[in-house]
Amino acid sequence: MNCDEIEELAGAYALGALPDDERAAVSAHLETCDKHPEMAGLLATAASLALAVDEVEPPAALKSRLMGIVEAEAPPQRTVPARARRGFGETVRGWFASPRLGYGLASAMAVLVVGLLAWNVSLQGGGSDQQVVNVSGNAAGRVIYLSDEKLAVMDVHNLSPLPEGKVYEVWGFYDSANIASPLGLLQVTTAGTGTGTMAIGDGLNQIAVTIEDAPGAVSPTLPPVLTAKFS
Amino acid sequence: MEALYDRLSRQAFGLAYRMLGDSHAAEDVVQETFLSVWRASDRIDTTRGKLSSYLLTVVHRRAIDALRSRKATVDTDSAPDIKDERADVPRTVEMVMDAEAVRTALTGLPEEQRAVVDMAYYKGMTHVEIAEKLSLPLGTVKSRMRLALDKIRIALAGQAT
Repeated sequence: MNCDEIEELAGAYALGALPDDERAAVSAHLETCDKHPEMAGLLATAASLALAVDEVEPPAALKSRLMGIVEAEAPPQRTVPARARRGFGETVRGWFASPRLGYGLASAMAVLVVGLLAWNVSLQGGGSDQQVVNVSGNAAGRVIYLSDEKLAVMDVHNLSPLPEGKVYEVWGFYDSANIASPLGLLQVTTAGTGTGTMAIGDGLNQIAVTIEDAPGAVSPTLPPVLTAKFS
Repeated sequence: MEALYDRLSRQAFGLAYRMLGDSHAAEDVVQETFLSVWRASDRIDTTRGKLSSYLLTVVHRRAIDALRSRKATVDTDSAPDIKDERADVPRTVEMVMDAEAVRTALTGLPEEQRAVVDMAYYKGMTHVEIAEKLSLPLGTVKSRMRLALDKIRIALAGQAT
Protein backbone atom coordinates (compact mmCIF):
# COMPACT_ATOMS: atom_id res chain seq x y z
CA MET A 1 0.00 0.00 0.00
CA ASN A 2 1.47 3.35 -0.98
CA CYS A 3 1.04 6.82 0.51
CA ASP A 4 -1.65 7.86 -1.97
CA GLU A 5 -3.74 4.86 -1.03
CA ILE A 6 -3.26 5.66 2.64
CA GLU A 7 -4.50 9.19 2.07
CA GLU A 8 -7.52 7.86 0.25
CA LEU A 9 -8.37 5.49 3.09
CA ALA A 10 -7.50 7.82 5.96
CA GLY A 11 -11.05 8.79 6.87
CA ALA A 12 -12.36 5.24 6.70
CA TYR A 13 -9.39 4.01 8.73
CA ALA A 14 -9.95 6.58 11.46
CA LEU A 15 -13.65 5.71 11.66
CA GLY A 16 -12.94 1.99 11.86
CA ALA A 17 -14.68 1.41 8.55
CA LEU A 18 -12.04 -0.71 6.87
CA PRO A 19 -12.18 -4.49 6.63
CA ASP A 20 -9.56 -6.22 8.75
CA ASP A 21 -7.06 -6.79 5.95
CA GLU A 22 -7.10 -3.18 4.79
CA ARG A 23 -6.97 -1.93 8.36
CA ALA A 24 -3.90 -4.03 9.04
CA ALA A 25 -2.25 -2.84 5.83
CA VAL A 26 -2.82 0.81 6.73
CA SER A 27 -1.54 0.24 10.27
CA ALA A 28 1.56 -1.44 8.95
CA HIS A 29 2.23 1.43 6.56
CA LEU A 30 1.81 4.04 9.30
CA GLU A 31 4.27 2.19 11.50
CA THR A 32 7.06 2.93 9.07
CA CYS A 33 5.99 6.09 7.21
CA ASP A 34 6.07 9.59 8.65
CA LYS A 35 4.35 11.29 5.72
CA HIS A 36 0.88 11.25 7.23
CA PRO A 37 0.96 13.71 10.12
CA GLU A 38 -2.74 14.44 9.69
CA MET A 39 -3.63 10.91 10.73
CA ALA A 40 -3.24 11.66 14.44
CA GLY A 41 -5.80 14.44 14.15
CA LEU A 42 -8.22 12.21 12.29
CA LEU A 43 -7.86 9.45 14.87
CA ALA A 44 -8.36 11.88 17.72
CA THR A 45 -11.44 13.30 16.04
CA ALA A 46 -12.87 9.85 15.47
CA ALA A 47 -12.14 8.85 19.07
CA SER A 48 -14.04 11.93 20.23
CA LEU A 49 -17.18 10.61 18.56
CA ALA A 50 -17.53 8.19 21.46
CA LEU A 51 -18.42 11.16 23.64
CA ALA A 52 -21.47 12.03 21.55
CA VAL A 53 -23.18 8.87 22.80
CA ASP A 54 -25.32 9.11 25.92
CA GLU A 55 -23.69 7.56 28.95
CA VAL A 56 -25.36 4.39 30.22
CA GLU A 57 -24.88 2.95 33.69
CA PRO A 58 -23.56 -0.59 33.31
CA PRO A 59 -25.00 -3.38 35.47
CA ALA A 60 -23.51 -3.39 38.96
CA ALA A 61 -22.47 -7.00 38.51
CA LEU A 62 -20.01 -5.97 35.81
CA LYS A 63 -17.91 -3.96 38.21
CA SER A 64 -17.89 -6.73 40.79
CA ARG A 65 -16.87 -9.28 38.21
CA LEU A 66 -14.17 -7.05 36.79
CA MET A 67 -12.69 -6.21 40.17
CA GLY A 68 -12.72 -9.89 41.07
CA ILE A 69 -10.69 -10.75 37.99
CA VAL A 70 -8.25 -7.91 38.61
CA GLU A 71 -7.76 -8.99 42.20
CA ALA A 72 -7.21 -12.58 41.15
CA GLU A 73 -4.62 -11.54 38.59
CA ALA A 74 -2.75 -9.10 40.84
CA PRO A 75 0.69 -10.40 41.80
CA PRO A 76 0.51 -12.24 45.12
CA GLN A 77 2.39 -10.78 48.06
CA ARG A 78 4.89 -13.33 49.21
CA THR A 79 6.70 -13.33 52.51
CA VAL A 80 10.44 -13.73 52.30
CA PRO A 81 12.44 -15.75 54.82
CA ALA A 82 13.14 -13.94 58.09
CA ARG A 83 16.87 -13.87 57.50
CA ALA A 84 16.53 -12.20 54.15
CA ARG A 85 13.91 -9.81 55.50
CA ARG A 86 16.08 -8.59 58.31
CA GLY A 87 19.17 -8.08 56.22
CA PHE A 88 17.38 -6.35 53.46
CA GLY A 89 15.43 -4.13 55.78
CA GLU A 90 18.52 -3.03 57.62
CA THR A 91 20.29 -2.31 54.38
CA VAL A 92 17.43 -0.23 53.08
CA ARG A 93 17.24 1.73 56.29
CA GLY A 94 20.96 2.24 56.08
CA TRP A 95 20.56 3.87 52.71
CA PHE A 96 18.15 6.39 54.12
CA ALA A 97 20.31 6.99 57.15
CA SER A 98 23.09 8.31 54.91
CA PRO A 99 22.55 12.03 54.27
CA ARG A 100 25.60 12.21 52.04
CA LEU A 101 24.16 9.64 49.70
CA GLY A 102 20.75 11.26 49.74
CA TYR A 103 21.98 14.78 49.06
CA GLY A 104 24.27 13.66 46.27
CA LEU A 105 21.52 11.91 44.44
CA ALA A 106 19.06 14.69 45.05
CA SER A 107 21.26 17.11 43.16
CA ALA A 108 21.24 14.84 40.15
CA MET A 109 17.50 14.37 39.97
CA ALA A 110 15.58 16.13 37.26
CA VAL A 111 12.00 17.27 37.55
CA LEU A 112 10.09 14.62 35.65
CA VAL A 113 6.75 14.85 34.00
CA VAL A 114 5.31 11.47 34.73
CA GLY A 115 2.48 10.32 32.53
CA LEU A 116 1.44 7.72 35.01
CA LEU A 117 1.35 10.33 37.73
CA ALA A 118 -0.95 12.45 35.62
CA TRP A 119 -3.23 9.54 35.09
CA ASN A 120 -3.41 8.57 38.71
CA VAL A 121 -3.77 12.10 39.95
CA SER A 122 -6.56 12.63 37.45
CA LEU A 123 -8.31 9.58 38.76
CA GLN A 124 -8.23 10.76 42.33
CA GLY A 125 -10.18 13.97 41.87
CA GLY A 126 -8.06 15.43 44.65
CA GLY A 127 -9.63 13.22 47.27
CA SER A 128 -7.06 10.52 47.67
CA ASP A 129 -4.18 10.33 50.08
CA GLN A 130 -1.23 10.64 47.75
CA GLN A 131 2.51 10.80 48.26
CA VAL A 132 5.13 11.52 45.64
CA VAL A 133 8.63 10.44 46.61
CA ASN A 134 11.83 10.76 44.62
CA VAL A 135 13.82 7.57 44.40
CA SER A 136 17.37 7.23 45.70
CA GLY A 137 19.96 5.07 44.02
CA ASN A 138 21.39 4.45 40.60
CA ALA A 139 18.73 6.31 38.62
CA ALA A 140 16.45 9.32 38.86
CA GLY A 141 12.71 9.20 39.17
CA ARG A 142 9.80 9.07 41.52
CA VAL A 143 7.16 6.87 43.00
CA ILE A 144 3.57 7.97 43.43
CA TYR A 145 1.81 6.15 46.24
CA LEU A 146 -1.97 6.39 46.29
CA SER A 147 -2.84 4.88 49.60
CA ASP A 148 -6.60 5.10 49.12
CA GLU A 149 -6.30 3.27 45.84
CA LYS A 150 -3.66 0.91 47.19
CA LEU A 151 -1.61 1.66 44.13
CA ALA A 152 1.97 2.75 43.53
CA VAL A 153 3.28 4.03 40.23
CA MET A 154 7.02 4.12 39.61
CA ASP A 155 8.66 6.06 36.84
CA VAL A 156 12.46 6.19 36.70
CA HIS A 157 15.05 7.22 34.16
CA ASN A 158 18.66 6.50 33.34
CA LEU A 159 18.54 2.92 34.47
CA SER A 160 21.54 0.89 33.45
CA PRO A 161 20.88 -1.76 30.82
CA LEU A 162 20.90 -5.29 32.22
CA PRO A 163 22.53 -8.40 30.85
CA GLU A 164 20.10 -10.58 28.97
CA GLY A 165 17.81 -12.52 31.27
CA LYS A 166 18.21 -10.26 34.31
CA VAL A 167 15.33 -8.11 35.47
CA TYR A 168 14.58 -5.16 37.72
CA GLU A 169 12.19 -6.35 40.42
CA VAL A 170 10.24 -4.07 42.75
CA TRP A 171 9.73 -4.88 46.44
CA GLY A 172 7.51 -3.34 49.08
CA PHE A 173 8.09 -2.99 52.81
CA TYR A 174 5.24 -2.64 55.25
CA ASP A 175 4.89 -1.15 58.71
CA SER A 176 3.40 -4.33 60.07
CA ALA A 177 6.30 -6.74 59.90
CA ASN A 178 9.14 -5.35 57.82
CA ILE A 179 8.19 -7.80 55.14
CA ALA A 180 9.69 -7.54 51.70
CA SER A 181 6.98 -8.46 49.26
CA PRO A 182 7.58 -8.73 45.54
CA LEU A 183 5.43 -6.17 43.74
CA GLY A 184 6.33 -6.98 40.16
CA LEU A 185 8.86 -6.14 37.51
CA LEU A 186 9.93 -2.74 36.33
CA GLN A 187 9.41 -2.57 32.58
CA VAL A 188 12.50 -0.89 31.14
CA THR A 189 12.88 0.58 27.67
CA THR A 190 16.13 0.54 25.71
CA ALA A 191 16.49 4.21 26.64
CA GLY A 192 16.64 3.22 30.31
CA THR A 193 13.18 4.42 31.32
CA GLY A 194 11.46 2.10 33.75
CA THR A 195 7.78 2.14 34.65
CA GLY A 196 5.56 -0.02 36.77
CA THR A 197 2.12 0.13 38.32
CA MET A 198 1.83 -1.96 41.45
CA ALA A 199 -0.96 -3.08 43.72
CA ILE A 200 0.02 -2.24 47.29
CA GLY A 201 -1.24 -3.41 50.66
CA ASP A 202 -1.91 -1.19 53.68
CA GLY A 203 0.97 0.39 55.54
CA LEU A 204 3.61 0.61 52.84
CA ASN A 205 6.70 2.37 54.13
CA GLN A 206 9.36 1.66 51.53
CA ILE A 207 9.79 0.48 47.97
CA ALA A 208 13.04 -0.91 46.67
CA VAL A 209 14.24 -2.18 43.30
CA THR A 210 16.74 -4.98 42.96
CA ILE A 211 18.37 -6.78 40.07
CA GLU A 212 17.31 -10.41 39.86
CA ASP A 213 18.42 -13.25 37.69
CA ALA A 214 14.87 -13.96 36.54
CA PRO A 215 11.28 -12.87 37.21
CA GLY A 216 9.68 -14.35 40.30
CA ALA A 217 12.47 -14.11 42.87
CA VAL A 218 11.16 -14.88 46.36
CA SER A 219 13.77 -12.83 48.16
CA PRO A 220 15.59 -9.70 47.07
CA THR A 221 19.19 -9.73 45.94
CA LEU A 222 21.16 -7.11 47.84
CA PRO A 223 21.95 -4.32 47.52
CA PRO A 224 18.93 -2.54 46.06
CA VAL A 225 19.63 -0.28 43.12
CA LEU A 226 16.77 2.06 43.97
CA THR A 227 14.78 2.86 47.09
CA ALA A 228 11.92 5.18 48.00
CA LYS A 229 10.66 5.78 51.53
CA PHE A 230 7.14 6.84 52.47
CA SER A 231 6.03 8.57 55.64
CA MET B 1 -8.46 0.31 38.25
CA GLU B 2 -11.60 0.93 40.26
CA ALA B 3 -11.20 4.68 39.86
CA LEU B 4 -10.65 4.26 36.15
CA TYR B 5 -13.77 2.13 35.93
CA ASP B 6 -15.83 4.62 37.89
CA ARG B 7 -14.74 7.43 35.62
CA LEU B 8 -15.13 5.80 32.21
CA SER B 9 -17.45 2.82 32.51
CA ARG B 10 -20.67 4.74 31.75
CA GLN B 11 -19.16 6.24 28.62
CA ALA B 12 -17.69 2.91 27.57
CA PHE B 13 -20.89 1.00 28.23
CA GLY B 14 -22.96 3.67 26.49
CA LEU B 15 -20.82 3.38 23.38
CA ALA B 16 -20.84 -0.41 23.35
CA TYR B 17 -24.59 -0.54 23.97
CA ARG B 18 -25.29 2.01 21.24
CA MET B 19 -23.26 -0.02 18.76
CA LEU B 20 -24.37 -3.50 19.75
CA GLY B 21 -27.92 -2.87 20.97
CA ASP B 22 -27.50 -5.71 23.44
CA SER B 23 -26.69 -5.28 27.10
CA HIS B 24 -24.94 -8.63 27.50
CA ALA B 25 -22.75 -8.13 24.46
CA ALA B 26 -21.95 -4.61 25.62
CA GLU B 27 -20.98 -5.96 29.04
CA ASP B 28 -18.59 -8.43 27.44
CA VAL B 29 -16.97 -5.72 25.37
CA VAL B 30 -16.58 -3.34 28.31
CA GLN B 31 -15.24 -6.04 30.60
CA GLU B 32 -12.64 -7.21 28.11
CA THR B 33 -11.68 -3.64 27.30
CA PHE B 34 -10.99 -2.66 30.91
CA LEU B 35 -9.06 -5.86 31.46
CA SER B 36 -6.93 -5.33 28.37
CA VAL B 37 -6.18 -1.74 29.40
CA TRP B 38 -5.34 -2.84 32.92
CA ARG B 39 -3.05 -5.57 31.66
CA ALA B 40 -1.33 -3.16 29.26
CA SER B 41 -1.11 -0.27 31.71
CA ASP B 42 2.67 -0.31 31.62
CA ARG B 43 2.73 0.00 27.86
CA ILE B 44 0.23 2.73 27.11
CA ASP B 45 0.24 6.46 27.61
CA THR B 46 -1.89 7.03 30.66
CA THR B 47 -2.29 10.78 30.68
CA ARG B 48 -5.96 11.52 31.09
CA GLY B 49 -7.08 12.45 27.55
CA LYS B 50 -4.91 9.80 25.96
CA LEU B 51 -6.07 7.06 28.29
CA SER B 52 -9.71 7.94 27.67
CA SER B 53 -9.07 7.97 23.95
CA TYR B 54 -7.28 4.64 24.06
CA LEU B 55 -9.93 2.96 26.17
CA LEU B 56 -12.87 4.21 24.12
CA THR B 57 -11.04 3.33 20.91
CA VAL B 58 -10.61 -0.22 22.20
CA VAL B 59 -14.30 -0.37 23.11
CA HIS B 60 -15.16 0.82 19.62
CA ARG B 61 -12.80 -1.63 17.97
CA ARG B 62 -14.06 -4.56 20.01
CA ALA B 63 -17.66 -3.63 19.37
CA ILE B 64 -16.93 -3.51 15.63
CA ASP B 65 -15.29 -6.93 15.84
CA ALA B 66 -18.32 -8.27 17.69
CA LEU B 67 -20.70 -6.79 15.11
CA ARG B 68 -18.75 -8.22 12.21
CA SER B 69 -18.42 -11.56 13.92
CA ARG B 70 -22.15 -11.55 14.52
CA LYS B 71 -22.77 -10.93 10.82
CA ALA B 72 -20.36 -13.62 9.74
CA THR B 73 -21.43 -16.28 12.19
CA VAL B 74 -24.29 -18.53 11.28
CA ASP B 75 -24.17 -20.28 14.61
CA THR B 76 -25.28 -17.55 16.96
CA ASP B 77 -24.08 -19.46 19.99
CA SER B 78 -20.47 -19.03 18.95
CA ALA B 79 -18.43 -16.53 20.86
CA PRO B 80 -17.35 -13.50 18.87
CA ASP B 81 -13.82 -13.67 17.52
CA ILE B 82 -12.39 -10.77 19.47
CA LYS B 83 -9.04 -9.77 18.08
CA ASP B 84 -6.02 -8.44 19.86
CA GLU B 85 -6.45 -4.73 19.39
CA ARG B 86 -3.06 -3.84 20.71
CA ALA B 87 -1.51 -4.22 17.30
CA ASP B 88 -3.20 -1.25 15.73
CA VAL B 89 -5.04 0.87 18.26
CA PRO B 90 -3.15 4.14 18.47
CA ARG B 91 -1.91 4.69 21.99
CA THR B 92 -0.91 8.32 21.87
CA VAL B 93 -3.96 10.07 20.51
CA GLU B 94 -5.44 12.64 22.82
CA MET B 95 -9.12 13.19 22.34
CA VAL B 96 -11.29 16.22 22.90
CA MET B 97 -13.12 15.67 26.19
CA ASP B 98 -16.08 18.00 25.66
CA ALA B 99 -19.09 15.80 24.86
CA GLU B 100 -21.39 18.71 24.07
CA ALA B 101 -18.87 20.16 21.64
CA VAL B 102 -18.65 16.82 19.85
CA ARG B 103 -22.45 16.56 19.59
CA THR B 104 -22.67 20.09 18.23
CA ALA B 105 -19.97 19.39 15.67
CA LEU B 106 -21.68 16.20 14.63
CA THR B 107 -25.09 17.76 14.17
CA GLY B 108 -23.48 20.58 12.20
CA LEU B 109 -22.42 18.22 9.44
CA PRO B 110 -24.31 18.05 6.14
CA GLU B 111 -26.78 15.17 6.27
CA GLU B 112 -24.93 13.05 3.71
CA GLN B 113 -21.71 13.27 5.72
CA ARG B 114 -23.41 12.66 9.05
CA ALA B 115 -25.00 9.54 7.57
CA VAL B 116 -21.70 7.94 6.62
CA VAL B 117 -20.21 8.76 10.02
CA ASP B 118 -23.22 7.19 11.71
CA MET B 119 -23.05 4.04 9.62
CA ALA B 120 -19.29 3.72 9.91
CA TYR B 121 -18.58 4.70 13.49
CA TYR B 122 -21.76 3.82 15.34
CA LYS B 123 -23.00 0.90 13.27
CA GLY B 124 -19.61 -0.60 12.45
CA MET B 125 -20.22 -0.82 8.73
CA THR B 126 -17.30 -0.92 6.31
CA HIS B 127 -16.92 1.65 3.57
CA VAL B 128 -17.88 -1.01 1.02
CA GLU B 129 -21.07 -1.87 2.90
CA ILE B 130 -21.98 1.80 3.16
CA ALA B 131 -21.39 2.35 -0.55
CA GLU B 132 -23.65 -0.58 -1.35
CA LYS B 133 -26.35 0.52 1.04
CA LEU B 134 -26.39 4.08 -0.23
CA SER B 135 -25.80 3.07 -3.85
CA LEU B 136 -22.82 5.38 -4.05
CA PRO B 137 -19.38 4.95 -5.61
CA LEU B 138 -16.85 3.79 -3.05
CA GLY B 139 -14.73 6.87 -3.70
CA THR B 140 -17.63 9.12 -2.76
CA VAL B 141 -18.05 7.33 0.56
CA LYS B 142 -14.35 7.65 1.34
CA SER B 143 -14.43 11.33 0.49
CA ARG B 144 -17.45 11.97 2.69
CA MET B 145 -15.81 10.23 5.61
CA ARG B 146 -12.69 12.32 5.28
CA LEU B 147 -14.61 15.54 4.80
CA ALA B 148 -16.79 14.80 7.80
CA LEU B 149 -13.83 14.18 10.07
CA ASP B 150 -12.07 17.30 8.85
CA LYS B 151 -15.16 19.38 9.55
CA ILE B 152 -15.62 17.92 13.02
CA ARG B 153 -11.96 18.49 13.80
CA ILE B 154 -12.16 22.11 12.68
CA ALA B 155 -15.37 22.65 14.64
CA LEU B 156 -13.84 21.21 17.79
CA ALA B 157 -10.72 23.30 17.35
CA GLY B 158 -12.88 26.37 16.95
CA GLN B 159 -14.83 25.66 20.12
CA ALA B 160 -11.66 25.01 22.04
CA THR B 161 -10.29 28.49 21.31
